[in-house]
Amino acid sequence: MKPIAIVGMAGIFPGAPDVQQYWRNIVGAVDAISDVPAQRWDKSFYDPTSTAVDRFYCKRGGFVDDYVDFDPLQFGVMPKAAQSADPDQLLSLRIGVEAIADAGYQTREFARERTGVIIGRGNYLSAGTLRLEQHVRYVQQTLQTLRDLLPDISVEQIEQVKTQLQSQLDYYGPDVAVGMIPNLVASRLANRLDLHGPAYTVDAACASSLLAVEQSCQLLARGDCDMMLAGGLHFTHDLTFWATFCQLGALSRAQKIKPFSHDADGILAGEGIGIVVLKRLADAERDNDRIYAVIQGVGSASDGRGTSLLAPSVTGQLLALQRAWQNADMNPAQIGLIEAHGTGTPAGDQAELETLLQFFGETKNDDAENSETINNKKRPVLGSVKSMIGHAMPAAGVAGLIKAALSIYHGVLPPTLHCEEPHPLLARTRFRAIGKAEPWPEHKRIAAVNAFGFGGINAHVVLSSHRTQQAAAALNSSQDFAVLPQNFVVLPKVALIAAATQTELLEKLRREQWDRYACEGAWRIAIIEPDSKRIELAKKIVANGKPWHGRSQIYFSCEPLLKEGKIAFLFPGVDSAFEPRAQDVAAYFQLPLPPHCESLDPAQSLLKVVQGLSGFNQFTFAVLKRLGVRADGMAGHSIGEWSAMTAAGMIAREHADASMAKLDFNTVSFPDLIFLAAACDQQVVQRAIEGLPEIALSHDNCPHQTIVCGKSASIAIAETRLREQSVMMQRLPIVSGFHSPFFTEHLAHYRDFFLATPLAEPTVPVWSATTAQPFPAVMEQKQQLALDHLVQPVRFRQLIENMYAAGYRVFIQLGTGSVSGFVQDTLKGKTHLSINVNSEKHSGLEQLCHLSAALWVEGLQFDYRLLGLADAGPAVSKSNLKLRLGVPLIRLQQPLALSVARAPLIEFDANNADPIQRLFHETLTEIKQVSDEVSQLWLRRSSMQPAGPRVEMQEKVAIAPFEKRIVQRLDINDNIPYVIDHTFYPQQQGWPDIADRHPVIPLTMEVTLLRRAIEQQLPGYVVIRFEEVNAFNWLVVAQPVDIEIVLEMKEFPLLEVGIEGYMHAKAIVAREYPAAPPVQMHQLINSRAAQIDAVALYRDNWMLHGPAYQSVIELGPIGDNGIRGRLRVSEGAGALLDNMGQLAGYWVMEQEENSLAMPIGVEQICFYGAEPECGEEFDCAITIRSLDTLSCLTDQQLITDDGRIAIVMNGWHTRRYQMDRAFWMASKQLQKYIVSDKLGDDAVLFRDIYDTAILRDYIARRYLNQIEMAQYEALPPRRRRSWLNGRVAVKDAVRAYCWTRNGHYDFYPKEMRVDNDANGQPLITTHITQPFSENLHISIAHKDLLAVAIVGEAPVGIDIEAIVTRESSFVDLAFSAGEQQLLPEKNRSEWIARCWAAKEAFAKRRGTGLQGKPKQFEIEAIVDQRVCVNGAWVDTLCNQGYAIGWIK
Amino acid sequence: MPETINDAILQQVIAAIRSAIAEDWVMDFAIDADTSLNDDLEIESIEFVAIAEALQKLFGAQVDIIGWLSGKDIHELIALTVGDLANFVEQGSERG
Repeated sequence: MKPIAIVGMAGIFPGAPDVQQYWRNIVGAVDAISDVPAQRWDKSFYDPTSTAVDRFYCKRGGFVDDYVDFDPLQFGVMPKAAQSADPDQLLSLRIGVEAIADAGYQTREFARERTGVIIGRGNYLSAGTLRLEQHVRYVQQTLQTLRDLLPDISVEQIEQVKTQLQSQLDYYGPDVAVGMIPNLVASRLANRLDLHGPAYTVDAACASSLLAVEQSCQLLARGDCDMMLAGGLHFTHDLTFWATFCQLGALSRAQKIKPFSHDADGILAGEGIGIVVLKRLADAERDNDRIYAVIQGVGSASDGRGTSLLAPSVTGQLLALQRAWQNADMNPAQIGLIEAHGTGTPAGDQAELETLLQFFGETKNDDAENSETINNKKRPVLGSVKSMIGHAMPAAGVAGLIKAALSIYHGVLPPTLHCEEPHPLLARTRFRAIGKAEPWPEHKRIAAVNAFGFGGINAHVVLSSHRTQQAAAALNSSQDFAVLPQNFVVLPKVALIAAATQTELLEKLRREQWDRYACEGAWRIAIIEPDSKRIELAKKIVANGKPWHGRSQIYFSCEPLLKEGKIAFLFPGVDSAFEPRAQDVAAYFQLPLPPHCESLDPAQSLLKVVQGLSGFNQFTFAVLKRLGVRADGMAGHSIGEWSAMTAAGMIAREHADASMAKLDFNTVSFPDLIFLAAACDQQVVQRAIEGLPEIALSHDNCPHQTIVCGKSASIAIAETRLREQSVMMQRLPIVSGFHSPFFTEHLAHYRDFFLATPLAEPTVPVWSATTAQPFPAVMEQKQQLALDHLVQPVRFRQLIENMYAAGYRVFIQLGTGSVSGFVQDTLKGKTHLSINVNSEKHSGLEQLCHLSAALWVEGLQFDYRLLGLADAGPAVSKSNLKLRLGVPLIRLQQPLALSVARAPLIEFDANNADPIQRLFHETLTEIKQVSDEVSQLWLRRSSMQPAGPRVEMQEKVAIAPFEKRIVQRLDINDNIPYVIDHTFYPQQQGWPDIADRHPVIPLTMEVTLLRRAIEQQLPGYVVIRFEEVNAFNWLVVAQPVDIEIVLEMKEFPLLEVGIEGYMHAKAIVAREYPAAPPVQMHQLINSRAAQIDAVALYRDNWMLHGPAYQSVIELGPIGDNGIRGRLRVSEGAGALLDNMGQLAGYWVMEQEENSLAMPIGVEQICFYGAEPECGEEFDCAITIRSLDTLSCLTDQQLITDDGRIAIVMNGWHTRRYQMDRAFWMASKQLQKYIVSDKLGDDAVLFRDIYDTAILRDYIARRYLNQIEMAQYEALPPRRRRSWLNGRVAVKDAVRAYCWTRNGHYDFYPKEMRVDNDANGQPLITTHITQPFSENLHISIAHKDLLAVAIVGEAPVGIDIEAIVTRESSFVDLAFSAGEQQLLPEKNRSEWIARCWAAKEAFAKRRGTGLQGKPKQFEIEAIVDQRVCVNGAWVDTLCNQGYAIGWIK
Repeated sequence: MPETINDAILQQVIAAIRSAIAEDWVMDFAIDADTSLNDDLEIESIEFVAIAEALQKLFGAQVDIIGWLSGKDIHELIALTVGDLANFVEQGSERG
């Protein structure tokens, strides 16, 4: 037979929503057997003592109810029809599509006209058929039975029963009917995927899937088809199925499935689906498909006239095995694994073991040393996945096939459960059973799969590994398996969410709603192996809004670096260790591993390390290529530069290999040469080696690592000097002399090589660490630089700084080692990502998952396969359904209104009664009483459910569950005028643009709206308590908004309530308010007066609230643990609760930092009376429960004047915003203050230290009016920040200017607009009001996180530059010789920056800018801090590493 | 090594670590004596230098923390726990 490759697979099995989890479970020996879920069948059917046909002695099995998700819209199915259709059809559609995606053909085209589908499926009663059966037969049967039993039942009553019954049934209509046709299990796939090969189902009982595989292989081998989807499914755990298997006695009485155990007593049923994608091996190799395993042969046979229909027959089984191995042309003696049929029935196990014994040969007693080995060799392994998932019937074959293929693919011999004491026959076969996974180190791995069906249909498949896996395995020893089983090549689970906004992301995270498809959205989080701890941390990270790059296995970004940033590939050179994690990656990607990719000590075998790391650098480059990750530029550290040159095509691969082969470090000797790594920057090192002979700086890696190379005497002195300065040091175990002048005499080999080797133009820029610039274009210069590299220092720090300046933001370290740490150290504080492709901390694939996660959050489009993301899902999959596999018994909600005539009681004459008549009468009376009681109980049954906590007994009369949605319009100009007093950003009186004020509904008003809605909905009830009140979106009412209030009575008296999209809570209702608990006041610690009084609280904008929400009438005393106050109820809805929160908020504001605080939720609000009237007064006591940088939790009590508690709020949660106090104080009264620093002469400097997205939004909304806000939001994310900073600075400059000239008056930043004129010059105009009348000129500049601005009545200019060490070429370009004479020698870098800024400021005042001709602007004199440019004096100053120049 | 670590020193060490790392994430980490620099804090070797410098600065010349750390190779260094650092500082201070 032509070998057939398995190139894709997908499935669902008990305990496993996908194939990855299935494999993890297999390797981890997970038992996925459970009790039958209640929705599958009622527990009344379980009775181990009964033999009745409707009673089952077994209730355990393998179930997949949790994983049968289906998104109807993705597959073009109507959601309504999907709920009723046969789940088999929908799931085969979904899994078929997933299998194609796994094979990589979701986006790649394939020969659809030559692709077919064959699915194994048994014709048991499926859920879909049963639902139809209920409509068609069950209702009629019930009504017929009622008529037969109760002849007097009226037509109306029958109708009533019918209506009730039908209302309990699932929807059925013409659109469902198509979902009932059995063969559509295959046809739907062909239809959806437009496949034109044959598509059909096969039923060969338990052998079905392997028969599907056999036929598929034949179609492929004959050339009739080019691709096949083959598999099987079984979801038909219907009662009839259980009845059949109980009657057959096939189910385990011990309720445990123990294949090949000596005491196995039957099967447990399993279920699931598996589909594999098959292609001819040659085609698969040609198309570069991933190959899990190769099918070498398939055989099938029937038992013929066997002993009985259901008894297994060794003859039939043997025939199937013989046929398969004949096809396979392989040696059965080489087998490593049999995935047996192994059902765990005594007869089945016995027959199968005999078959194996006869086919693979018997072990004689003298051969077998023990149960583990034969003739010193480990026995091959026998197992059955049924021990973990049960017997999935027609899907059993594919479950075994997938298991065997993955075992081959990963090189792991999988365990089997519950076979500690095997069947005695096992020892006589060549096989053994194992309870724990073992490595399968053979290069050529051969496995076989059995599936034997009822009625005597047998199938057998022979599989082998693919030669690329063999090559990968051959190159590396089995070192990766030393630490079984943690180190298996199993991809970690990666949970991802992409969202458009922070709130959306938080909400999805809270619901753990992970993305299954690649979704859009800049807010992205990836969590590797998520657990509750990581998810909690993730929530904090998202709330914080700052990028997070991998700690605790979490990656997060909200401003994707790769929207505009470039990717750099950095190739490492020799490090102090070389520990690649390569083998799993090689196996997964089927890439051959180059030599020496193993742990090596550079001190022992430098040559091997150099060869190994060079090969491994190119290997990881190939892996990134496979993943579709491409570089915009490359660089290398030390000899890694050669790798970069090779990867970018400068050096042809064969030249590189040839050169590498000729290397021999043993011929080069460096007496006394030592590398010393010092943990400090290069200036410190320069000082330490000053004046010493034969020592030189060789590597400037980063601010915390510099390496010198020198003779031992000088090294020793340098060490002493450095030690005096407390610098950590380490001598490196490597001797090469590279990158030092001492290597000059050893250059011959390299000179020959580089001068003889043409260096091509690279595909992407290659940066040299010698010049910290891209390689030059001229050949001689290139070659010279390649040689200089060996004798000049590696200027890695400068390289990374320059690459950053050139727009590189993502630095991927190829190979392995610590180069990415240098990058992080160099770019500390600058937004960037630096990450390894391979790291000793994780397995190779794990680290690749980390890399994939990091790149995904930064917005890169590439192959997401390691993340488990399907690449082209529906835009948003909101229509996902959980399919229902079971058809539970129908239970009616109401008893029939029975006026059915009962037999009249026999008239009873008490005076004239004989004892029998009396007895009869008494009995009847008793019966009637009981019957009345029962029917009373029926009526009250729902109220007999356990009641919610703290509900009085009188609350027994329950309200049935309901769900009610109330749409309500909120219009600030109409029904909620008071909300204008709850705006975030106050503006001038009468400011017309309401959006500039940002009016939001207070959380407490939302609670009040809910309280009113509930009480309106449930007359006679009051809300006594809210719990878990959480807001997740600001409800902004700048425009009228229609909100949807949702009230859902879950279980009386508990309601789930909320405002859709904004907040959510639980509410508890009762007839009356409970008695108030006693007041519990905590003593205030360190009690003192508040810093301000209640009037100032509102007047000075501590609180943003207007009159309708100003209820605090007394503020304080305040203490370390709380605050007191007095409140008077004002008119705004929710004002009273809000004011309790205001007191808590004020307490936070008195803290030293992070003073801005906003409420986001409350754990519990208890009401002990109705809503108070306007004007009523209360005392309020706030106790601080906990405080950290991000949040504050308080408990609050509202107390009446007669000392009763009116309201308790526990766990009031305020979110704190990270800002310094000065900024906070100024920003809350922005009409009076500026947040920038004044520089003098109407120039200001704004220092942006506000890193979180939340704070930037806060600043933007305070400074930008709606017109500017729209401009701001249209900017690319990377430009936004500096643009905003410039706006802040200039608006502050203008306001300060006006206040200096005209005295103080309220002047909000939104009262002016910054635009650009036709020449791009910034222009300032007033907006809406007239805060100034002068014709003002402005100039703006920004650098990094600083922005400066200046204002004047005539043209002005300002500029800011970073003070850095400049090359002499820059200085020559910028300044004439005469100017250079003027530059002071002392602090020269600073003066270069000052003078440049002065020229720029002058040029900006002229309205032209420098236009690339700095020498047109001549510096004529420097006096103190002032610089004279073309006759005009420019002021300059230096501030924290920056020079600023300005001129009026 | 003393049975219990001087809490004041431990707290100083922890504070120094937090301020040396000086990034947002570290605020969300609970750090105690058992916190390992490598496994828990996941710090890179380069970052370790910044921590060592901060400690040396904090505890001054009487504790030769840099000297002590320089005697260890990088694998020993990153296997250290916060408690190890505090212990050394404490012993160093006592000697001084």
